[in-house]
Amino acid sequence: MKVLVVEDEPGAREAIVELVKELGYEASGVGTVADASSALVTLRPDVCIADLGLPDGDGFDVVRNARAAGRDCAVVVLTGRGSVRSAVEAMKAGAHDFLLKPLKTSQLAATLTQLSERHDEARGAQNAGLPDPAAEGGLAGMVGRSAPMLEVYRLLTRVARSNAPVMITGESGTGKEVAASTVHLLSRRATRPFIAVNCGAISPTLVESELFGHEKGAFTGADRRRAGTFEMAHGGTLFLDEVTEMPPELQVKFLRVLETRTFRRVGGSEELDMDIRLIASSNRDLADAVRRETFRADLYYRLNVFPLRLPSLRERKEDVPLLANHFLSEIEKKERRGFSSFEPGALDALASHSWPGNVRELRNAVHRAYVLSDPPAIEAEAAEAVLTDSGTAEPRPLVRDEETWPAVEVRVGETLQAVEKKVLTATLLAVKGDKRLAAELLGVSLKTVYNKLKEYQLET
Amino acid sequence: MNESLPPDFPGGVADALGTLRHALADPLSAAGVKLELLERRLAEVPSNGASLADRVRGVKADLAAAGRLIDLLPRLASIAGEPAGITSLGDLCRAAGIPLEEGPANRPRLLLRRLATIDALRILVWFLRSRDPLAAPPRLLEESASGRVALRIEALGGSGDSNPERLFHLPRGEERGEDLFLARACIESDGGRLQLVERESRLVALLSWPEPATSPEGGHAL
Repeated sequence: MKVLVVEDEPGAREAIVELVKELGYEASGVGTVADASSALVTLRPDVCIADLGLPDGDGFDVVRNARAAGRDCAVVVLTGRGSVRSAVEAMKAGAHDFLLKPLKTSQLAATLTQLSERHDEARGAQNAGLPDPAAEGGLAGMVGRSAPMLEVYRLLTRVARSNAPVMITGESGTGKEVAASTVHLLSRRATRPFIAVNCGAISPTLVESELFGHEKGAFTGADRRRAGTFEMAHGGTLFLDEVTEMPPELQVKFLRVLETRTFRRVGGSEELDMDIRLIASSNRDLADAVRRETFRADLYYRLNVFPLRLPSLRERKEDVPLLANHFLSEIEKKERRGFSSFEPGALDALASHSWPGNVRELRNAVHRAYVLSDPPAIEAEAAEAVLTDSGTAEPRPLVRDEETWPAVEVRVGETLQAVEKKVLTATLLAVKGDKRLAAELLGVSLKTVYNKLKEYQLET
Repeated sequence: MNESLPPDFPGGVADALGTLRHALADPLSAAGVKLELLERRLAEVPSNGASLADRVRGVKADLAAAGRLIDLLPRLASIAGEPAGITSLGDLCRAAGIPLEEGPANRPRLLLRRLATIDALRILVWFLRSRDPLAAPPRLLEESASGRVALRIEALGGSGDSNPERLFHLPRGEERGEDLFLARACIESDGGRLQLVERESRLVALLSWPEPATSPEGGHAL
């Protein structure tokens, strides 16, 4: 793999060139944007490491020139500003990645290794090409061939090749975690871990140690060293689900880790490198969370480098039969009752529903209809029955009549966990088990309600 | 929401700090890479190369510590670059997600950097509960005495630290010190004071700002 180093300070340039050679790559160096433009044509580098501040321009000019040269040259920007803006601008301009000065050898080596794998893939199979999602009816774990989904696949495939953070938004149940996992599977990190963290489900008191790990004796109860999520996801992808529910105290620390790409275990002094691709998701309006000051603007900008919105099922109704058949085959694989299809009336009923709970609701409906039907086909009557059970076609209006809700008694000194459990139980009783309504009343996501039910073992 | 990014630093001292970070990062970066190469060369020297490589590793660790500290400059720049606005402690604590327990009915208005102060409050609460994450969150109480508006944040669990204020001086290897250094910088930028004391084996953060001047009509000037 050929690497071009664009750095105006000769001593630094020579040292980086030598180090890149030491790491096992071909390397050469230039000091200006103009020389870099010529070298892109004559040397045909695969990777360009460009300083952001150059005498006749900046690293962004190198990114633009590399793109204009028409070659698949990945540009890694070196920046000394240490600001959210420079990092985000570099990625949005098309840089593969950015590295913060002072440069750390381990981070440079990790970036070059990744790019080298990409380079080898491109040279080898010439990317053999992904199967056509329209013909296949989906991409990796995602199902659908409607126009909105084909656009989602196009964007996912594109972003998977870079290291840019992705922010996935969409209504609850649209498959944000599946989309995140697809980005991971299509990326060069596919063989490394994919770790999903629900920011709303981690105990706020332990969230720091959950993410960063802790040393023995770091706090009361830390009786041994424990690796955190960042360590476990090293080299892979970290998916932060419900990111707007990240405790505010943690957001500032989190931003710092993103900027410096290093972290320490709680109570530790050893600085550990972070080599993680970040994907975040939310079903809330992030911009509104920023306006309400519950989510930091700088963290929002840092995570929102590549926004991706997943369509609701209402926006891609033509995918309902495909999805329904996909879920039927999944359920049949597990339960083996001899089902192979839907009666036409059953599919018509499913297609006419508005699916406020999106793909998750459809999957549950198919499962319930499976239970109610006799093989070999899901009956129209069963499909209609489960849709009637699931309520009206439109989302239920939220009733906020605090006066009429029963009260919950809380003692002074009761643990917050006990209080949370009480409130959750009482709310679910009051709304007759409607978890969606309970989530809305409690101001949390549906997924958080499910997680809490599991945590408190309240799920029947 | 407008997707345009905010400027790096809005001029003045803030911009100077950003430029200083950039200027310091360049030579530190070059030195770090050169030392890395030297260490690799020394590792190949048969006689005393290994012990010399150890020394180089020591210098690299020093440089890494300096590199970490210069990351404080953009954060100081954000504090310096934020204009102060009229607000109250109750409002800031609410925005920080850590509501005040009690305080004067008519809360005085203060001229403070809103975002930086919210961060400072979060840092302090985080620090006070870090010794015992399972304990109840710290208590926050607003007071007004001796011409100053004060905020007391009391840890409710974990053992104390005999000299917590040493952390303000950025002792090496104490990451918590970096956050506390920034919290103090923020409070003092608005004319405030921050003390960390131990009372009855519990850590307490004491923050105070001068009470706003009163206008000739008798009300607060702010």
